[in-house]
Amino acid sequence: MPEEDPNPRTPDDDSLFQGKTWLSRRVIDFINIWTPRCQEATHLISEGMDHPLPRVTRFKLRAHYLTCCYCERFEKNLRFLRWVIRSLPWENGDASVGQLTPEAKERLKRALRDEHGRG
Amino acid sequence: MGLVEASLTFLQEISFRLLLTVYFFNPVAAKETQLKPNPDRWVDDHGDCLYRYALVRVRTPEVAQDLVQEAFLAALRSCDKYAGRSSERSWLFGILKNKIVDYYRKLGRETSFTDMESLSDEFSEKFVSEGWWVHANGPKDWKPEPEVLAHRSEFWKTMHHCLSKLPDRIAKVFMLREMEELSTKEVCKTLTISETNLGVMLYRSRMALRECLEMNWFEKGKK
Repeated sequence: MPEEDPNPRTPDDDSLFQGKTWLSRRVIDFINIWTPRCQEATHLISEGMDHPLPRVTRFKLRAHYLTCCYCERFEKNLRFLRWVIRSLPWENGDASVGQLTPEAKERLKRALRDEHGRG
Repeated sequence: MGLVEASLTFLQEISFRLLLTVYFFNPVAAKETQLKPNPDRWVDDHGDCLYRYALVRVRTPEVAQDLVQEAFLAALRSCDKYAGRSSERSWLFGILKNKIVDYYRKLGRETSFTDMESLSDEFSEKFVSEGWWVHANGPKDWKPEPEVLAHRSEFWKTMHHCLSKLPDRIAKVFMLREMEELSTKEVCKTLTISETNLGVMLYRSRMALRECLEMNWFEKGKK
């Protein structure tokens, strides 16, 4: 009787090799020997957002993605995060995020008028 | 005939160049682009925007207000340097941005950014002991753009909520790198931290933010 997988892949897993056949499992075993595990891969992916990774490391990550769509998604998610953070017009958010109280505005105006008068 | 045509072309060329010269070097026009400081209008027109910009980055209302005030004062003192090449608001944002980086620089001198609390790895539960993802909790396929564009303001609120949940020190490191778009070297110099520590903190902030956004936006309606 086959052993139950303690960490089964989810139904939305779209990795190229999912270990469903004997051959696929052998390919995964082979790739796993040469590529980083997911925890290390996530560190490398984050590092890759800040520095260009060595070519060999990039190749290993690509190879890892063949067996692990989760790490590939992790990289896509981080890239999306960067894109959205840098493109959202934060200052144009609505008042729920924050706005100067009338008192704060008055205080600001007073400070500026004083400085302007002095100048 | 050829001579007349050539003379006309020459005259046209000369008058066009003269017009260009007058347009770009006209002292009257130059005077018009110089900013006339109007503190009350500045606060009414740009105060809230600048405040929100600062608040998202420094996360403390009092500090954000102080930075906005400092930016306005600096703008007032340097009105004569305003060349009119950008809009008044962009110019004020530029000044505020510098003030925010100065604030972080000062904070870096006064606060330790590398304590154990901020470096502990609290994401170990995402992985099994061998280092693979716990597949059931692994990252989901976000299919983001259309959804974000359709619900821009709600997405904005979720994102803001997630950013505000980040631990303070981690958040500051993240803001400098991702929002102010400083290079890793500049962030390390500003906060006086090592590149290794920066890497760990950025990793942690990205993991937390990704997780929060997935739970509160991309997977919210699905469960």
